Amino acid sequence: MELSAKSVRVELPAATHYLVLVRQFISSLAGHIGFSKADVAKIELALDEACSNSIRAIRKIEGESPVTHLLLDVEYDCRSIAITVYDNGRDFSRNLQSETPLQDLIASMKTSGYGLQIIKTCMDEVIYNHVPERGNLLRLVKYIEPTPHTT
Amino acid sequence: MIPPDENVTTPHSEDSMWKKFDISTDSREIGGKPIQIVRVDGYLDSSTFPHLQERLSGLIGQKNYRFIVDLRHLNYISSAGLGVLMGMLQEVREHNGDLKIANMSDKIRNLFDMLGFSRLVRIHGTIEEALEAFGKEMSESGKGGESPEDSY
Repeated sequence: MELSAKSVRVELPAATHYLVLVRQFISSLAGHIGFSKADVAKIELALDEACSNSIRAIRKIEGESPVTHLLLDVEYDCRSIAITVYDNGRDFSRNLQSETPLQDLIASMKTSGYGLQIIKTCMDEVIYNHVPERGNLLRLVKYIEPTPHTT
Repeated sequence: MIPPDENVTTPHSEDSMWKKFDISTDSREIGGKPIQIVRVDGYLDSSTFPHLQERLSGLIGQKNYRFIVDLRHLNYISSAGLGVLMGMLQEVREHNGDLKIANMSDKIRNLFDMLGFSRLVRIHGTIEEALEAFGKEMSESGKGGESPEDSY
């Protein structure tokens, strides 16, 4: 991980206990770029949910000891951060297209299935692509809100 | 009210290099009925939620349906952790019990608010306030001597 660059690639084993490292990394980076505490928390949560989805997808295909690693590409500048998560799992575009608002899902008291809606709620742009035989690409973008002018 | 039981801590050795997660339980009594206080420390995510689920399932299996979840030292929760609390909330309410949250940090409160979970669960500033709320609800029900299934 190299903070001085404008892009960072992180590769991790597809295991949930590495999620804490992902969260620490992205929180530090987003704070360094200048995101507010509230937005850092949203980026942290969205990426955690994205990585959890990917780890589940990888493990469904490869079992309990997957060989495929979780791959994250992070690009950033002083105004935005874009994180791309790659996995070789099944197509989940149908889930992502759900228009049910997150708070309606919560009100229905389901015990799972919130991840993608949380991602859409937390991030400014969510771009998804599934390439047959290669897997999923989920790109999450967040922009720094302009500081209000004081007169 | 009886003095708190000795805390019971579940050790988690796996993946302990980074994992900062612990659960401890305590029991109080209000009107002769037990209230389980579950303290969750560290972070509640896809790697740690099964431990909480297991502990809560065990307590519910022993017919405990009134819970206070103390989140004073919880510093992160994802949808996986939220799912555990949601499942538990449904289960205890099916038995006329309840789950109340106490001692949330601002960060966790903001997440609860953003996700809409704050509208489903009762949130209290302290454990004592949550206990008081249980006591008030039980006395208002006028059937404090019955089991949660019958009375709460």
